[in-house]
Amino acid sequence: MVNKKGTGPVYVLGVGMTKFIKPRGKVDYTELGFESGIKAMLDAKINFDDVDQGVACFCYGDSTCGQRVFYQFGMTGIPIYNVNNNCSTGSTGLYMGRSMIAHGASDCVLVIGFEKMFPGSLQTFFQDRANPTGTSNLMTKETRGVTNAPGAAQLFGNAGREHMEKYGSKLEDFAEIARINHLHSTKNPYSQFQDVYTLDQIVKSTMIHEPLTKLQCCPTSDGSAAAVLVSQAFLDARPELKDQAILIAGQCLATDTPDLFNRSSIDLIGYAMSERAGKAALAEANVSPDEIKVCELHDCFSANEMVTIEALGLAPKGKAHELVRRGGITYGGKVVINPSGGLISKGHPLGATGLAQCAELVWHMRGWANNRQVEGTTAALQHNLGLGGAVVCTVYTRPDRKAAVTLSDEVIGKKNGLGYNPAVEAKGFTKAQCDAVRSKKARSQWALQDTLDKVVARF
Amino acid sequence: MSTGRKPCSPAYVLGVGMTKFIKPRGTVDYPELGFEACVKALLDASINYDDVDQAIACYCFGDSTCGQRVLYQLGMTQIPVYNVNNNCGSGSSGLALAKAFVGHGVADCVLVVGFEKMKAGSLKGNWGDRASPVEINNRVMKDTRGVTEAPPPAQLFGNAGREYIEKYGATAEDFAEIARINHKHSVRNPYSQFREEYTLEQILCSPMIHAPLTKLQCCPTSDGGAAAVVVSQAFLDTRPHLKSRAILIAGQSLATDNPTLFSGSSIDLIGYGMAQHAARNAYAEAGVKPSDIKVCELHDCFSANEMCMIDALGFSQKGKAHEMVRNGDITYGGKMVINPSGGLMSKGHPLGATGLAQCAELVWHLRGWANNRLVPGADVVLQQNVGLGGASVVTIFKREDGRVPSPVSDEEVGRITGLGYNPAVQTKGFTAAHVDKVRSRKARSEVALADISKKVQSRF
Repeated sequence: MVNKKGTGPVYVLGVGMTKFIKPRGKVDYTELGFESGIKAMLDAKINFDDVDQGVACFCYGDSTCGQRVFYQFGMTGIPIYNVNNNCSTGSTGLYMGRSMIAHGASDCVLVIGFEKMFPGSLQTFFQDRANPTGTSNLMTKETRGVTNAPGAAQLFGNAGREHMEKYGSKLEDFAEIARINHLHSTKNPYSQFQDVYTLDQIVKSTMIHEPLTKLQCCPTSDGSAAAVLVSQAFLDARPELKDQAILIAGQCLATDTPDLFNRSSIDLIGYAMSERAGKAALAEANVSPDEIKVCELHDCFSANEMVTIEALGLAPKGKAHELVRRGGITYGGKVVINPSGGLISKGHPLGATGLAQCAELVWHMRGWANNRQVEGTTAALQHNLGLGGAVVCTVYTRPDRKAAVTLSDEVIGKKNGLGYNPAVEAKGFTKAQCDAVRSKKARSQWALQDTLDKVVARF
Repeated sequence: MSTGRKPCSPAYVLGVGMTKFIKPRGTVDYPELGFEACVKALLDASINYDDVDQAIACYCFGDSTCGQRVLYQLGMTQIPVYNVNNNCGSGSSGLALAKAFVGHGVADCVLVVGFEKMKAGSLKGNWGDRASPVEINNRVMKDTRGVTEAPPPAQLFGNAGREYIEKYGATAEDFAEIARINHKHSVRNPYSQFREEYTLEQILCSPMIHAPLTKLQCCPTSDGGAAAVVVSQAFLDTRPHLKSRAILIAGQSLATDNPTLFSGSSIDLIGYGMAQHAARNAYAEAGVKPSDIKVCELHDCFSANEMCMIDALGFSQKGKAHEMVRNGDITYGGKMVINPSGGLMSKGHPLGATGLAQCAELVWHLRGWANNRLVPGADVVLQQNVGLGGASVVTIFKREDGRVPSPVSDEEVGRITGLGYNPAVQTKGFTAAHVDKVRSRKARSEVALADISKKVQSRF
């Protein structure tokens, strides 16, 4: 039930993330979560004692990994939930936090998403029970057959095939999406990869499942991202931070409809969820798709970006490839999609992705992403999808609904007291800075162990 | 600083349901367990899945989105679905989230389902390549009392028992007595995994796991599911004929650990601090004192935890929980009844389901439906559910009319519910017609349901 009476505005006051890295098993989730949590709290200029609820977002790990991360900041007894929704885990946490604050259950929620993954494609871990997406896999088998390619690549590749069959898109159109996202990533200091490829290189990379070649598939990654969400009252008590608070103007979490199983490969990857979530979030924000100048969209595979462009109303149904062809999804076009480089180049640590998208868009709406800013951005759209499933769409605006004004690194470094612009530079923090944000009333050195030392040593 | 926080409006448990808890033999999968619990809860609440506007799934062992796999069997209505966990406190964490949503107007009707398909043997972590969330807890244990070959949870809780003996003069018999009582209670609970009575001697002589905990003082692993429908005042007001079934969540708190966890005390190490914290908050919200609580479903994963929790929840004076046990004050005829369901120890402990099974038991008590095990004068009841790692959830329930429940006969319950039997004293199944009644009318999917309903019904 969206738009309930008596809800208050919710702002993203602080964001932070780690660089996303190849999963080599060297950095544990305790460090990843710590780093992004500290960065988000530094960015929000709060202390952990100000936080009244915690949400930890991760898929892989025993229960209460969240507490293990949070206790490093302090053990203040606040409620902490561990949540997951496959690849939309991070934005599920955002949705939970926003719901709590909008309806007066909380003033300040810290949402941290993290994932420590394995190299190779996504696997199920519990083999002795029903696979939650088993019903979808059965549908793939019945409609297009199964191959040896990774399951996710087949699902999304098949959606790409259907788009080509139905609407006339070509292999090159999908490759172009990837080319653009890889190109965008060179401006994002947190991105796992920052390589530029020609269209030809992308088309010619190893075919995984047509039309998806290797460079059109997101990697697995280790990483973390976090956000501090606050109420109006919380923000009013900190007027000096009003400039950097970005409003969650609209948001919706939608799960599947029975159309999931109507034998269409496009529907099978959650098209209906994306459509519903996008529509509802935009409606709540009172923003039309045409007003969206920046969009962080779930490009786990280029094919998902293709169909999602249509699901979100950024292009008419069946015409996403035409928008791609005329340069409509990059700088100089209608909307810049995945200025961060998207999942394809930036990486995709499941629990973190939704919060990394949030960080990117908050930087844009603050005017901090000055090396990749889109002029005249009054509203930004985030789309995060998890098969199984759940889609969360979020619309961000400045509180006054005006366009973001680009700021220089010097101005930003002074404003945030950090001496640098985290949107364009991935830097660390000092022990003193950690000390400022860790709980004053209930910190525990035992809970922290040597995490701080390890994290600072890696900077 | 002014706050944006608003007071919580009333939230009610309108319907509950659960499966029998069973030994984990791997023969029943979680889609069936969750489906059975949900159908029963929806029937009990007299609602259709279309009435639900948010859903929460609680489980620890399983890939992400097991919740959707379970819920899509009822309908694919696009409502928000969360998968949440907090180790053994997962079920009541889901309940707490539902209450927060309903009480603050995020939703009018939330379905919470907890399920677990477990492996035989003691609890193990599944992820050996990364920091265990509780490894720093285990290191404190190692540094203070050392480690043995016994299963780590048994060591942790056993050590807490030892400290209670050392500090306060409890004896091995006192812990065994807790188990004796819970096993005895379970005889009257049709959902209980075990329903055996034991003498004190038998409990003391069962194999020693980690003193003072003998085997019969340790909960088993189990497969099972339980569910609850949580609704707002507005939702209830449009269904006045259901008010007699609605149970008010009068007070509730989910607390996580404070730094005393690592004080070096074995009692602190099992979450005594967060239990106290949650209890304080819940009593305050409900406007009641510990002595008002007449029935309690309490987290007896091991008898030692029940001992410490009696203390932490303020039922006894500090350090005197064992005296309460000796005086017969935790069972029928005494000051209160703890674990009328048989507790985790006898009823079983499927991690995601337990908190919701505690809820079901207490709801049946307050409705007067648990007529074979009712406690006279029990108008205020409490559940405590904990997960190491951690989270402790204390929930206090009252009837919507605030009255003391009177027993309701099986015939009357059967008539009220339209099911023809009393689910508090009898485990029965449901028919295809029942399933049809509760499944979504506007967005059901036969593909999502597959053959699960048939499988579930065939086991009845």
